[in-house]
Amino acid sequence: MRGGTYNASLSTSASDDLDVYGAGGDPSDTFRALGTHVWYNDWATDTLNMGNITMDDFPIGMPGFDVGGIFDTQANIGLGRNSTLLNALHDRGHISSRTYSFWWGLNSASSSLSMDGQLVLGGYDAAKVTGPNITQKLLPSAVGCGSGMYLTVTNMVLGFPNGTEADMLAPSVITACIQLDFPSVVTFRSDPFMDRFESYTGTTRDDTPSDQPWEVPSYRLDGE
Amino acid sequence: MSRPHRKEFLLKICRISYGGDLSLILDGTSKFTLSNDILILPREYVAPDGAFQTDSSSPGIAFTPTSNDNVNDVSIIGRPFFSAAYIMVDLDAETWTIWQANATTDTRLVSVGGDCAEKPKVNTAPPKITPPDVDLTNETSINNTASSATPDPADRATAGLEAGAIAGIALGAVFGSGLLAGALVICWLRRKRQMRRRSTGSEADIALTKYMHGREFATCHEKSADSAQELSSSWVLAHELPVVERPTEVCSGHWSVQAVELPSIHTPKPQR
Repeated sequence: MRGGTYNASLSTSASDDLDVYGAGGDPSDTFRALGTHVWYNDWATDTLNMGNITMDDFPIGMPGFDVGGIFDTQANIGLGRNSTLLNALHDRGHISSRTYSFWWGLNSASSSLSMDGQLVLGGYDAAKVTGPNITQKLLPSAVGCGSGMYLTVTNMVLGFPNGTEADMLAPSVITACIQLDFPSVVTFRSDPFMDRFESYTGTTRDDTPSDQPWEVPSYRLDGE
Repeated sequence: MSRPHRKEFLLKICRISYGGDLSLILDGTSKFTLSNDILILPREYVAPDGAFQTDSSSPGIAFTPTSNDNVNDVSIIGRPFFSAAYIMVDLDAETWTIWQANATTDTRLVSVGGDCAEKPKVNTAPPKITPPDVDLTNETSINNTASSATPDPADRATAGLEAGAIAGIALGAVFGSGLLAGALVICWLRRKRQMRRRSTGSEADIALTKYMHGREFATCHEKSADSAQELSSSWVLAHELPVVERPTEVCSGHWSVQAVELPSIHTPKPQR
């Protein structure tokens, strides 16, 4: 069970048994070049309802393999450079530019602190931003950074409750790639950065293997 | 590129003695702070009755340390960071923008693009993309020692793969900087034309010329520094998108709807 599946045979408005070209999808989704796993010939078109918008004949691709493992347990909305969804919304006059904005919300164990995130298509939410911004060009996709969005992290400062601070990076600087679906804050070299975190905070990592994948809530397979 | 071992996505830690927060500082200027309860999380799972459960006896920290095969991967900034940051990606303008997030349930949607709206202005040069995570100081020498000390075939195979990835990144960077250089030249030519049109020889113009030569494309946009006053105030020009909502004019009846907010993205509903 992956957060709901699409079954064309249960839909009265679907045209299925299409290939990616027939459905109007982006063929690059079927190339499997970077671990993409949508079948070339298992596509359908159907009516897509989204907010107060309805789009007929919207292409839907069926993943033939596990998509991204525990990175990715839900159905996917494609928001890549040639996003079928953003193209369609733009072409039909629903949004004025192929723009999306994302805020993860607050994922906290305390339900009183938790807050839902947000995806905005066609603009952004001015209420949820503050201060100056950083704007950069999208760089071309690369194997190590599909998004083409690179950041320079100059400091990672631990702020202790007693007011002292310690920089985990200094004197290094890391270049990092934004990957919006990646489930942890940051990846960095275990040596020296994680080692520094452990020594600064008196924390020890637990290397015993876990049966359950972390972070992603798991579902029982038999109960579907 | 192989992905990190799964158990390390949210690193288990034995003793939590850290009650503080974590601030990532980008480009030496912008600070994004993640509070302790976002950084350190209990294990979450879905019980047979479909309800979310948390197990706080085995917490994890939202870091993914890399080692072995993954040690040369490009560092990744993932979605929990976007509790503290808000990102907008404009595929038409080929830009992306991040702000500090203001955690609120309030909403003031602003449409971007179209004939009568302003485009995001690039205000930051992309980082120079070096082999990932390698920097200019101590760590480099440590890693060099390690790799030269163990020239076994597996290491070489890994090195070959990574070199391919790095070459790809480098190619991408070269291509990207080509584009940016092109943009710079276009902006510079336009600026030059504008300056020629204006009164020549004033001190402001000379200062502006010096300024433009001393800066990269980041300062180059159509409306910057039109007066001597702006120049004399501060070099830190306001290139940002408006953070305060301003009335957005709808283009001559063409766009029926502005921005679309999707319903909550964070409540997976188990089905039976």
